[in-house]
Amino acid sequence: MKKILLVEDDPHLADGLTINLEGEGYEVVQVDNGKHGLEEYHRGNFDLLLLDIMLPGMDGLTLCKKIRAGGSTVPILFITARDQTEEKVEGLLAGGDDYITKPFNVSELLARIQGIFRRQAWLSSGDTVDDAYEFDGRYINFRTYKASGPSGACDLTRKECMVMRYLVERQDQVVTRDQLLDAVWGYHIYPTNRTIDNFILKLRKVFEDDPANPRYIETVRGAGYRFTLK
Amino acid sequence: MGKFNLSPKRALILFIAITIVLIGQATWWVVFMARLVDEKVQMAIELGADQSFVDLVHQQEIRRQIMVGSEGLFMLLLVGVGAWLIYRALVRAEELKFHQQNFLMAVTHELKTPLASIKIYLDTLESAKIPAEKKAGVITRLREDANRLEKLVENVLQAGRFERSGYHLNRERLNLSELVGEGLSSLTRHPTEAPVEISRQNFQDNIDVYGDRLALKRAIEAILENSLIYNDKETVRLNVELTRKGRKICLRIADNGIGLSKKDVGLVFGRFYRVGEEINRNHPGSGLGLYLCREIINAHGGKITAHSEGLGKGTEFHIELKAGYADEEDSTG
Repeated sequence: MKKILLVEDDPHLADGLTINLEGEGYEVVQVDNGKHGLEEYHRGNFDLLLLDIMLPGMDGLTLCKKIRAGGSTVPILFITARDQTEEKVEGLLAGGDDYITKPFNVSELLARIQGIFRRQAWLSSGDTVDDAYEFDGRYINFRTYKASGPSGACDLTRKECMVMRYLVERQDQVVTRDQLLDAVWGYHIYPTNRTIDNFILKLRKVFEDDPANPRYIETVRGAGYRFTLK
Repeated sequence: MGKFNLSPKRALILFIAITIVLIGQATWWVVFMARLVDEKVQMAIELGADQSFVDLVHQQEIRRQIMVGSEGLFMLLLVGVGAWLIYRALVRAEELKFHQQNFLMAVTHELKTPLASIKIYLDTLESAKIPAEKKAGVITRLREDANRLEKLVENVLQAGRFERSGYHLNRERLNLSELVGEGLSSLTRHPTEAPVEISRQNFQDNIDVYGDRLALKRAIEAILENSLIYNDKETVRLNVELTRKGRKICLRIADNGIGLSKKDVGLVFGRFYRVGEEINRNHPGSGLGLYLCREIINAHGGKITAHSEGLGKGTEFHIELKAGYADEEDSTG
């Protein structure tokens, strides 16, 4: 049974969500305060965090950053009333995996949760490429998110790992930005698929000798990207 | 359109920079004029003028330069005052912007959260996967959420009416003691975890006021709600006094809550004002309750003030109203 930590300060909303998530077979731990959310997170072994952003004690963004700073890759889904584009991007940059805006239907939330679990399962499936993948002296582990390249070893975020895996799985094929967004984020999140370019830049910094003239992660003008081993 | 963001800190730096430039300019001006006097006197000497003429030139130059200098200093003073006023206006605009953003965030949260809750409970009622016993309290919660929404919408509309100065008070002679009593008894039904202890020392019965029942009820409830929300004690303690001296009615509501800082004491009745940053949402509310409260009391010709010894030391609200009767008052606020 998947275990979910729900951090939401409104008791009505929190109870309603808990009833429905339990009805779907999830185990739910409910907390009404950001600080308590962090304590509870360290106590339990959770498969997913549902975080409100405007919270007493500690806001959801700070809570997410603290959890990510500790090296955790647990999926985080923000539930919030704030619906401005900048605010959504802020949540995702803080380390969130997805974002749902109040008010929403239970079916929409469940679809988002299932999408997160599906993408997570794909990332760690190992069906088409091994968890540990090496090319030309570069290394990436899709399970531990460890990577190394000409500039040394580093930890990637889960999203960066997912982007890299999607490219590696489709070696020598052109991958469009829309495909990447759909597979890695779920298409609904970002207002512009140019956001993906920032992740490509980061991956090039890790794996390319000269990120300005990439050899492995190529840009295909007007189409997208291609991972290639020449 | 590009954004022009000038934080109070940047505005202060700009103001200091302008002041330094002005002082530098004035200093340079004084030095330049002193040299000019010396040059003119020197020129008169070199042209062979006698001492009395040289003295005359010197005195004339000094007089002229005092006059020009005074005008210059006056101009500098004007520019300095202007810069200071601009700085103050920028700081105030920035503060207002902050409170407006806070208000928008608060209202968005206060509107969307019960709406989200209503949608989720409706889905819950329809779901075949949820057992009947878990659906038992759903209708009550739906009703409570609808009431929350109604209250917020009413507050926002009411604030709009006051803003347009078009709010009409439906005045009648009413028993203020009973109205306060009703507000206090509704507190026991308030969904707060902490128990509430109410002390009514010095509480006179049958004090009549000529006012708008709904508006005054809203004002009293806003204060009582504030006392509950901004309270971190295990037991909420309220001390309520209601007295009449001559035509002056005094209502005093004191709580043992989180209190107010010196800065907040003067600001709590401001429109949009909420203590702290909204993202750290420690207390529910929209920032309109006390604003409306002040507008209502003012519309009745009364006065409301907040007092606190500081953070953690509780808050006291004092309301003064005039005892009055239909034939002594206007029928509108």
